[in-house]
Amino acid sequence: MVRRAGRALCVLFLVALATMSLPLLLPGSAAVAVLGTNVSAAELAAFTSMHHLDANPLERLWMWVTGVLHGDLGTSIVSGASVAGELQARLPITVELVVLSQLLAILLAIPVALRAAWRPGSLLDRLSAGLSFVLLSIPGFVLGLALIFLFAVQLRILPATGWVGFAQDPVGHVQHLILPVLTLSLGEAAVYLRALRANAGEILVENYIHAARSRGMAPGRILRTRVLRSASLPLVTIVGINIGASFGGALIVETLFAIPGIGRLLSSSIAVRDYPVIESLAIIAALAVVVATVAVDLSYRIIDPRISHAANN
Amino acid sequence: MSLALTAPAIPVHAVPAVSVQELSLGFESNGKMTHVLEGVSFELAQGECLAIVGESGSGKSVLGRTILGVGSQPNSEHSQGAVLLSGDDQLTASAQERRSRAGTRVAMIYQDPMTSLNPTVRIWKQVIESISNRRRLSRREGRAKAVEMLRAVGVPDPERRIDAYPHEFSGGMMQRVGIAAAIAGNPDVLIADEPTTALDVTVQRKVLDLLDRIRRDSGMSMILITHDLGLLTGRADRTMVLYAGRVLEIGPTERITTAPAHPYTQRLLAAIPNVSGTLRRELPALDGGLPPLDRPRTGCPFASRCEIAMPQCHTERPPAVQLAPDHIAHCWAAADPAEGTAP
Amino acid sequence: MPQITSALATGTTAPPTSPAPALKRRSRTTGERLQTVLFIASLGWLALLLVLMFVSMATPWLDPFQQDFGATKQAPGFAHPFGTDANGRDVLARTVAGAQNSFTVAAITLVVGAVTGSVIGIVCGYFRGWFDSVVGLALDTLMAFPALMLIILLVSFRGPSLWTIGGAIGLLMIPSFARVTRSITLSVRSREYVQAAVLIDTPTPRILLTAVLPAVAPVLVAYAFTAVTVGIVAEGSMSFLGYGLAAPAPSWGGIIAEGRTALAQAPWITLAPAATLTITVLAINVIGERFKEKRK
Repeated sequence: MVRRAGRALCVLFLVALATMSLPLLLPGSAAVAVLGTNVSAAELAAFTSMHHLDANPLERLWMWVTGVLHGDLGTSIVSGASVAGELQARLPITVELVVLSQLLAILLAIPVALRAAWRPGSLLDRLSAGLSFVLLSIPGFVLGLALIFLFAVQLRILPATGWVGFAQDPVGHVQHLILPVLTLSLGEAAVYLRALRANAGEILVENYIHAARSRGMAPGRILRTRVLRSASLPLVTIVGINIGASFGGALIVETLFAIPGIGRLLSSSIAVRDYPVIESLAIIAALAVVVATVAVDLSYRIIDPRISHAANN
Repeated sequence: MSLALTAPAIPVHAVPAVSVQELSLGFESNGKMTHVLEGVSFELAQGECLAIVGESGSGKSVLGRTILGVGSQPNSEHSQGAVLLSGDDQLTASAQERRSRAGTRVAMIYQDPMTSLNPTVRIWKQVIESISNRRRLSRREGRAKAVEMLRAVGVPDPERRIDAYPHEFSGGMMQRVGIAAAIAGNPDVLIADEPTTALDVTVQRKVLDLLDRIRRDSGMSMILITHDLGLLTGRADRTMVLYAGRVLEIGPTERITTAPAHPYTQRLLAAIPNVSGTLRRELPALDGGLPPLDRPRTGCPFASRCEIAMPQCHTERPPAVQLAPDHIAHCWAAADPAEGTAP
Repeated sequence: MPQITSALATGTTAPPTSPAPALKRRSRTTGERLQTVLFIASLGWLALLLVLMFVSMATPWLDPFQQDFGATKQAPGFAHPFGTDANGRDVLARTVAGAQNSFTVAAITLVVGAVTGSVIGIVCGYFRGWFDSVVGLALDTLMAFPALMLIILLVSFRGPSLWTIGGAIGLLMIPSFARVTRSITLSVRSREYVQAAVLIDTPTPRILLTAVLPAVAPVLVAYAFTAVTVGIVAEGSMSFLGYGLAAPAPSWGGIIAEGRTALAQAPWITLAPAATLTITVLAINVIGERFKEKRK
C-alpha cells in the first residue's frame, strides 16, 4: 500500500516536472503569442523572464507548489486573471458533467447487464450486446451531433448549445444538461454494460450461486447482493481508469455544446501558450487520475475480503 | 447430542419423500439433443437413505438437481415423467413454487465446499439463508441461529467462527458448514451430491457419520450420490445403480454389495481395492466408455462394455427383473439365469 | 416436438420400440447467419471505400477541391450522392478524401503505437531489471496525462501534419500495447521450455522469435484492430476540435465541423461524413470481433 502511494507520488512529480518544462521546449513562444511579432527582442526577453518562463523546471515547480499552499495557482499571462479563480468558476461545471454522465452510465448498465446475464441468449441479452457494440463504435462527437440534430434541430425540444447556471434558471440548466450528459454517458454505458455482463455471466455459473438458489434465494436478490458485489470490482477498476479518459470526452462535449468548463479552458490556453494555466490544469488532471487509481486500489480491499486477507498475511 | 430440529412423525403408510416416475431428461443446444436420463424410476421412503451410484456422465448429478428443482436452464431442457416431493410434482411446478420448496423441503449438499460457499460473504449469513430468504431475521436472531446450526454439525467455537469467511476454514470444516446451511431450513429431503469426494480420506468418514446422525435424529430422508461404492455399507439403506441415464439395478444395499445381479454392478464392486484381501496384480478396470449420449439408447446401455452381453442386449431394452421383493435388475442375463454368470 | 417426446418415451417394462431418428444438426442459427452477413457487409464497405479512394486519387472524378458555386448546399441527388457543401464542393468527394487521411493517420498510429509499444513491452518483459522499472514509471507518467490534452499540446507545438497527429495518438497507445505484450512475455518467459532454452544458451533472438513472438502475435493483431479504430476516432475528434489538418485539406472531423453551422438547412454536409466515419469504425470492429472469435 505504501509502495503504491510512493509510486503514485513519483508519477505525479514527473508529470508536474514535465509540464513545467513546457516553456523550455519552445522558448519565447509564449511571449510571441501574447505580445505579437511586432515587438522587439528585448521586450520578448523581458516578458519571458518576468513570468519565469526561462527558469529551471524544478524551480518553477517549487514556485508552483509554494504558490498552491497559499491558494495561488498562478496567474494567466494572457489575461492576468487568477488561475484559481478561473478554475473555481469552471471546474464545478465540468465535474457536474462528468459525474452525472458516469452515474447515468452506471445506472443504465447495471440492470440491463444483470438481467441479460441471468438469461443468457435471451432477446434482451442479444439486443443489449448488439446495441452496446454499435454505441462503442460511434465517436463521441458524432453521437453528440446526432443527438443535437434529432432533438434540437428536428424535434426542437432541447437547446443545441449553451449553458445556464442552476441558480439562475434551474429548468434551463437541466435542459442544457440533457444532451451533453447523454452524449457522454451512452458511450460509457456501453463499455460498462459489456464488462459487467461478462463478469456477471462468469459469476452466475459458479457453484455458490447454485447453492444460494438451492436455499431458495430469489433471482433478484442473488443478482443484487451476490453477483453485483463480486462483479463490481472490475467495474470499479474501469470507472477509475475512465476518469482519465473522461476528461477528453468532456473536452469534446464542452466544445460541441459550448459549455464553459475547464475542457474549453484547456484548449484555449494551449492555443495561446498560456503556460501557468496549462500547468495547473495538467497537474490537477494528473492528480485526479492518480487519486482515482489509488481509490480503486482501496476499494478492491473493501469489496473483496480475500485480497486484504492475502495482503495482511 | 441431539439436533434442535423437529423430527416429523412417520406414519406407517406414508407418502414417499421422493417418488421419481419414468423420468426422462434431455438437453438441447445448437440443435443437438443430449439424452441425459431415460426412464428413471425409484422411490425414497421417509427417513430412508438411498445411494445413487454411477460414474461420471451417468446422469446422477442431473438427477439430483432435478429433484432439487432449481438452477436449471429451462429453455434447453426437455423433460418427461414425474418427480414428486411428498406428492408434489417438481416438473410441473412453476419456478416460484420450486424456489419456495428449495431449502425448506429439499436441500442440497455439494461436492466441493470450496466453490459452493460464497467467498465474499460471511459464514453465518450463508448458513441461515434458507430461513432469511423467506422472512426477515434480525441480526441477533440470525447469528444465534447460525451458532446453533454450526454447533449441531460439530464446528468448534461457533460463536467466533460465524463471522469468518469460507477461505478461513479447512475443507472438512467447510463441508460441515455446507451441511449446516443445507439443514437450516429443516428440509424433508437432503440430497448429498458426492459430499466427500473433495475431502481427505480421514475427514470423509467423519462427514458421513455426521450425515448419518443428522438423518437419524431428525428423520430426514437422504439421497447420497456417489461414484464410490466403498462408502455405502452401513450408511445407505438402499442403493440404485445408474449408468448412461438409465437405472441398471436397485435394491437393499446389503444385497447389492454382496450379491449384485447386474454385470456392471459386479464389475464396480470387483474394482474396489481391498486392503485386507490378497494382493492382486491388477485392479480389474472397465474397458471402454459411455455410449454416445446424443441419441436415445437402443438396448442395454452397458451392452458395449459387458462381458456377458448377448445379441439381444444390443437391440432390445432389458426388462425389469424382480429378483427379490425389493431388488430389481434391468438385465437380460438376470432374466435368464442360465445365461448369466454368478458373482 | 413430437420427435423428441417419442424418443424419450420409454417405459421400464414396455416392449422394445424401434429407435427414433436422432435430431440432425440444424443449419446455422439466425444469430450466426446475421453475424456472417455483417462480416461480409463490413468487408464490402471497406472494399468500397478503398475503391473510391483509388478513384479519387487516380482519376479526375471525386475531386474534393473542385468548387462549383452554382451548386452550393445541394441536397443529395444523382450528380452528388452526398450533396454539396457551402462552397459547392462534392461532399462525397471530400468524405472519400478524408478517408484517405484518416487511414493514413491510423496506419501511422499503428506503426508508432503498436510496433513501438510491443517492442518495449517484449523487451521489458523478457529482460526485466532496472530497464523494466524505469520504463514502467515512464509509461505510468505518460498515462497520467489526460490523453487529449497531450495530443493537443503536441499538435499545437509542432503544427498539424499527418505525422504529428498520427505520432501523437500512437504515442498515447504505447503504454497499452507495452502492458499487454509485457505480461504475455512474462508468462512465456516463465514457462519451462523457455527456461530450458535459456539454460542451454540458446541465442536470445531465437527464443524471442520462436517462443515469444508466436504468443504475442495473435493478441497483438486483435489489439491492432482496436488501435486502428481508436486512431480513426481520435483523428476525427482532433480535427473536429480544430487541431487536425488545416483547411482546405479534408479530414473527416474537419468536414463534420465545417458542416456544423449548416446543420439546420443542409444537414447532409455534416451527417454524411459522420455516418461514413461511424460505419467505417463499425465495420472494422465487426471484422476485429470476427478475428477474435475465430482465434478462440
